[in-house]
Amino acid sequence: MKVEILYFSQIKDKVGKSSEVLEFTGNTVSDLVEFLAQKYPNAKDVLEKSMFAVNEEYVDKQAILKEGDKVAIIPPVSGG
Amino acid sequence: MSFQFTEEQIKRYSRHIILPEVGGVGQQKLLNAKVLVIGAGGLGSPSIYYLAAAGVGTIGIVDFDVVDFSNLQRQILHNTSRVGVPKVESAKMTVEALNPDVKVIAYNKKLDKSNVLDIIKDFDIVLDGSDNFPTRFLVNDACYMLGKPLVSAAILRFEGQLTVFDYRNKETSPCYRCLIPEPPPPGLVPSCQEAGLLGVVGGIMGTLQANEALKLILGIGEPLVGKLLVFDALKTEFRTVKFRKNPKCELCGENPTIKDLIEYEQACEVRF
Repeated sequence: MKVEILYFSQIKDKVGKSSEVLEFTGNTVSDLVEFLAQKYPNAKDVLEKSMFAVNEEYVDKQAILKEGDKVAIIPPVSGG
Repeated sequence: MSFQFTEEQIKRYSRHIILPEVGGVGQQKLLNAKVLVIGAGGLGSPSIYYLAAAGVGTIGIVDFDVVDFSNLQRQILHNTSRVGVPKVESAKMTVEALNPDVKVIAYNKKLDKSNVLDIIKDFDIVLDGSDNFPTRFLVNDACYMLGKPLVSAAILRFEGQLTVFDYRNKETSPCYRCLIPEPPPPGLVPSCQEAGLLGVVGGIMGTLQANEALKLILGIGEPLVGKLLVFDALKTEFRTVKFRKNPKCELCGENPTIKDLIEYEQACEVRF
């Protein structure tokens, strides 16, 4: 399915863009994370520890995605 | 209700008092309020400065660092002549010069599980502007245990995050661990020292923290509970992500396993 992905913080720097529309095979956020970890191996570790929001609502990795969803990937930050 | 404001206070707070949402009653609430700020750095500088200007009567400040030249690009409570001075002392001097109504309680120490509950317990609201995950988890868990509202912000490079956990309502408010169950492994998330920070991002996010604190004290507006605000300075864009209590959360969920404070290691982080 096709989803729009918004990248934040270090993920944005690692993938080199702030958003993209991607076609992937799978159903869940977890499947999408696995797909992205293969596409962007340097972002794998941060991807796995990030927060995910689908259509501006926080979800866990088991959440089911549907065509056209907007998925935001937000790594936690700790600076002060 | 009668007020005991001095002539000077009436002038000082006139722009507040004239707001129907604040008024004399609200200004008195601010003067009676006790707010604890963790970290007198990039976030703590603007939040402490605005809380002091607003007349928040008691401000506790926790920090164990001394002022360094590398702080001055963003930490506006401090200045060149204070390099080498403990940050809490520098912050206290700046606040006292701004507003003599404010009593500053300086904690020149590192938070740990032996002192955090004791420090937090006498305050009404806590603002987290610390620079590492172990402190953030410690402060979160302590605020949860004590039922204190926590205004949490974090910054890195060109981005900031902000949310409010209202632990006066533990049944409904999500907690920090609902968003981030446990600290990421050391080294995964860079510190500002490692990755840099546009100074003004701390100014923006710290000022928003002060705004949330003032709303909580005054009981006006809608606190940012259950919403994570993400700010992108390069796009000048704010996004809000809604989140709920996680029933499986180990601190606030249905079957909590965390009953005591936890001190996580911060081996890889070097502070500046």
